[in-house]
Order: sequence, then structure tokens, then C-alpha cells
Amino acid sequence: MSEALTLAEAVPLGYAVLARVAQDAGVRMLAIKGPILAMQGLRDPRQSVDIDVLVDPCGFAALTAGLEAIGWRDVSVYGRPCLVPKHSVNHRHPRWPCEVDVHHWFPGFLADPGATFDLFWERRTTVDIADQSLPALDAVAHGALAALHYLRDEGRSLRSADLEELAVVMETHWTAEQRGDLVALAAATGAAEPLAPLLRSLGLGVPEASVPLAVSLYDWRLRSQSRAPGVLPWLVELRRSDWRRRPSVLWRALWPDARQLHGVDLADPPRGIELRRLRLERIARGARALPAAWADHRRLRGDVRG
Amino acid sequence: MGEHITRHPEIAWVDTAERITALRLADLTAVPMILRGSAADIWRALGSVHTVAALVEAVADVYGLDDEHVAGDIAAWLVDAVEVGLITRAE
Repeated sequence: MSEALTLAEAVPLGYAVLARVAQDAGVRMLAIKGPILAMQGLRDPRQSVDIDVLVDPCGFAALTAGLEAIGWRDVSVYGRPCLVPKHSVNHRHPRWPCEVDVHHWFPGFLADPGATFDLFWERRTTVDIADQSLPALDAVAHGALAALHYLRDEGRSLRSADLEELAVVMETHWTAEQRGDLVALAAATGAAEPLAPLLRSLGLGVPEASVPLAVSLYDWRLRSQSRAPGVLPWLVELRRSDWRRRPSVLWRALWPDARQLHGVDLADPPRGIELRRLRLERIARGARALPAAWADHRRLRGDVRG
Repeated sequence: MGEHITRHPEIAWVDTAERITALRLADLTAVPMILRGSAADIWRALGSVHTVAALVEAVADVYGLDDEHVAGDIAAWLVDAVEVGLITRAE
């Protein structure tokens, strides 16, 4: 019987596996987050629990097919509305203790995802993981990505400590040139407004976007400023749906498929009484969050109309 | 004993001090290989030595033994390691 991998083993080996899958499929891929953040001094070292990569959107299907071919199954939840477009899929393998998150876009970089990836690819670096040299985001681009990850939940202040830690790194360890590069990168990737809180905290100006936005800035604001991100997407989808679709949207919101429930084991989803209990608990949570979600929706619409 | 030996470039591996976990990137469906004890020490020594003679000397040092005491075991390990794709050897 084979021995189980620990996370300390699986995460670095997993990055090497992804790089090889990408290479075999002829797909450009950049290692992101996890141990790379610590290697680049962007956060303190800590044990990562999953493997994150950003791939060329054109190669996304080929890469995920390559993962499926070696036993990594797509365990993403589909059918649940998102305030920003779906940007990644999650894969799991029965012998590995971690997930692989394959991103074809990263929320907050609102310019065309393909053009954004091309820019990241041009300025990529390499990192040594598991004795392999892997292509990765350069430190400035990675700092921007990490900041957007933390800012995605700004409305709930979930990652404010992480964002502060990152800002301290940029302020004390980065050169003026790197900070200037951050501003230029923000403009070139449609991330200027999303990164504005970070840029202002560093005493930097918020530039105008130098490229057209392919993803709605309003939707980013909804996502990042919402205090009820579980309910708000359903409200938005209801309001954006044709009136003939609204009953089915409402039904899906109130009585979802078992696999749509947060935190369930997708290989063995709940049934019967347990499923009913989970659904009723979800309705109760949604009802409690509804006033905040409604207030967010009205407030953020008002900000845009300003 | 002067032949050149190296870790195979297509082996991804992690050293957690307790053990070494190695994966052949040429076969991503294969189960990772686990090296412990003397096997792990041999693998670690391959990071800085590249001949069988140097490897024997390095591993013997680790255990405080004469070279002759470890040479046979290392030779046997190398045969297995080549077979499973962990190392390459060339004259």
C-alpha cells in the first residue's frame, strides 16, 4: 500500500506536476500564490493547502483535460451565480491531500484575460520548487495578484491583516521603481480601481486604465464591497433575469441541488432528511443576510450612478 | 567507480527531513516513491557528489563507517535507482 502524501510534500510536488501537464499540453502556465509568495518575500512562509496556477486562457481546456487524464477530477460547483465571471476550476485526486486551482483569469485584473496573461508571460520569472524550475509570476505582478485576492473581500474585512502585511513589504522592501512598476501594471491590466486601496495606502496615485476593461468594474465593486456575498449574487441574478426566468432562479436559490451546498462532499452529497435540514438552514442564513445584501445592492448601484 | 551519476532531471522531490518523496514527471500517474534512512542519505549526498566513489565516501562519512562497509549496499541501491528512473549514470 502506498504511503499518504503530507501537505508539505504534496504542494511542491503538485506544482511540478502542473508544470509538466502544461508542458506536455503545450500550454503556458504560471505558478502563483502558495509557496511562491513566500519565496518572493510577499508574505511569511506558511503551509499552503492547495496548488494555484494561472494559465493562458486559450490553453485552459487542454490543461484541465490533461489533469483529468491523470486522475484529477473537476470538483467545481457549477450553476451558482457569481458576481464576477467564473475564473477557475478546482480539481482533486484521491491520492493527494490538496486541491489544484486552475485559473484562466484572476478577479480584479479587469482587462482582456488573454492580453493580461500575455503581459504576465512576457515578464515572468522562474522559481525552484521540488527541484524543478517552474515559470511563475514576477514579484511585482504577484504582489498585485495577492493584493487583489485580499481586496476581493474588502467589504467584510476578511483579509485586511494580510493586505496590511503586504503593504508593509511593498513600502519597506520594494524599490521606488518596483512601486512605479506596480502602478503601471495596474493601468495595463485594468486593475487600477480594484487596487486603489492598496495604491493609496502606499502614497501612490491611482492611474487611469490604459486598456479597455473586458470585465465590469461594477461587478468587481459588488463582489469586493458586499457584506453578504452568499446572497447578493442571487439578488443580482434575479434582477438581471428576464421575468420569465425569475421563478426558476428563485427556486434554485431557495432549494438548490445537494451539490450546490457549501462544504458538502461532492463524492457523497447529502440526501433525505439531512439534505432537507441543510437546505432549511441555508434559507435561514439567507434570510438573515438578505437586508445587508439588499442594502449593498442599493448602495453600490448608487455609487455607480453617483 | 568513476562513472558519473546524477539525480534524474525529471524527478521532482521534496525532503521533509523524515523522508524524501520523489515523483517521476515522465509518469504522472505513478505513485510517489518514498526514501528513508540510508536511501534518503544517499539521495541527499547526490546533491553534491557525482561519482560512485565520491558517493560511497560521503555516505560512509555520514554513518562513521569505512567505505568498504557501505560500497556494496550503495551499488545495489544504484542498480534499483536506475531501474525506477531515480538516477542516471554514464561512463
